[in-house]
Amino acid sequence: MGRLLGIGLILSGCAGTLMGWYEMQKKRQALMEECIRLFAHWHYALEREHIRLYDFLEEYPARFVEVKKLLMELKNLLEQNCYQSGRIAWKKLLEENDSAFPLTGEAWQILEDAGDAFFGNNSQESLRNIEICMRRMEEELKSARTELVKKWKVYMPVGMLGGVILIILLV
Amino acid sequence: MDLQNYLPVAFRTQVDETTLQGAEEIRLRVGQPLEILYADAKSRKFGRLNAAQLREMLNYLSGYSVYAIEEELRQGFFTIEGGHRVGVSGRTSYQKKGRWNEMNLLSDISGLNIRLAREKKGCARPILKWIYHGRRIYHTFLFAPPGVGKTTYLRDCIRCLSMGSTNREGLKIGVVDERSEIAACHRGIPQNDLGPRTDVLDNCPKEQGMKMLLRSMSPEVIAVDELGLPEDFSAVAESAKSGVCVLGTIHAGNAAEVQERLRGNGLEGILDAVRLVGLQREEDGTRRIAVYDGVGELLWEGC
Repeated sequence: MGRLLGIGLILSGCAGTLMGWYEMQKKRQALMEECIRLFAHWHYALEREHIRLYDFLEEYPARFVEVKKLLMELKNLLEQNCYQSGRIAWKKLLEENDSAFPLTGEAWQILEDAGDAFFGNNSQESLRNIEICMRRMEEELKSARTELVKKWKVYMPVGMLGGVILIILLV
Repeated sequence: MDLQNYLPVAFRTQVDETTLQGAEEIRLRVGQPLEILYADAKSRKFGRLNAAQLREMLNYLSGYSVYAIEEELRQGFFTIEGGHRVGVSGRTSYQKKGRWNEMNLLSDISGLNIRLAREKKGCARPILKWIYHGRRIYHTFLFAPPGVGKTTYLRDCIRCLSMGSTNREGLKIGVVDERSEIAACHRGIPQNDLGPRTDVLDNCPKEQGMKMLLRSMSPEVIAVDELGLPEDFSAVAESAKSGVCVLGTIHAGNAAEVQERLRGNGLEGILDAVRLVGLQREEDGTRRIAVYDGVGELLWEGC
């Protein structure tokens, strides 16, 4: 009886870890989508409305609390008029908040480079940078989705097989 | 926001609130000291400004949104909170648009001139009794060389006329503020007090603005700054024909020049209903005011 309970616990632990990893990957993808959405909004605001950055940061309807918090912190930071350029403030803010975002590698690099999209020397430069950031993030999202499907296809059967072997060995 | 918070961080310890008291202009040029000019023609200089610091200041002034003021930069200035006007100089680029070249971009900004807005409430009071004509006013043109204070007096005239007094009801005034100097609108909101019966068209060409106000706001007085082009005067003529009084400023050295300008632009018909107000800066910084009628006869002179 104790052995069966132990096996059950081990299996559910493994399954939980696997699901946790899967959920994290999904959240990463959702954050990437949110970044693309942010860039698209910013592109429109810049091109059509010439809206001030402060207003945009305040009014942007973020879907993630982390993103909203980041944008509001950026606004507060900029309003202090202490940073020579907005890019420096953006970089500093990302460094302080890196633990709140599950983005890694290329996706994180794109987010860092978004400083050029927010703080270009003129609207043309900013627009071009937004387009580049958007395209890079879309490509990254696409490859992350493909990778997740591939990994899931491997991890699922391996996990199930491992579970069966564990049961056989322990029972 | 305090004005010193717009300065580059390196200058904030040197330039404090007391330093800025009585200042009229802050001039910044790359490679030159930051210069503060005061009303009594004195000036103070601080440090030496580099290109990065000028860029830093432009970031602060625009709220890190230089792109959002590109349209204004093409005109060479923009207005910040508090109504202060920031003039810019730098490298311009043009693009062909039809038969004309149109300014495309002002980049590599190398100089800023912040003209500090100071409302001098009540400064126009001595003028008022000379420009009232029953319940209405004469067509009134304030003239002076640049920098004497035409706009300041115009602003106060607008405020006083709009407010009215105990024995005079306020007038409905439409202001065409092409250069955002009169109302000093920041994001559409007037920063200066122009009275309770004043409608402002901000950043709008004078000719178009005057026509728009005539059609839509039924003003009793239309106020404009710096009349100069023939089309400005034709809009003045149109307003006068519609029975609306015009209150404006003109760059000129004396009343004869203004009369000549009015005649040359087909406004001789309204000269009998005109008041010309000349301003002169005295050595002690006070202003001498002279009021003339439409034919150039001096009616009053004083401070």
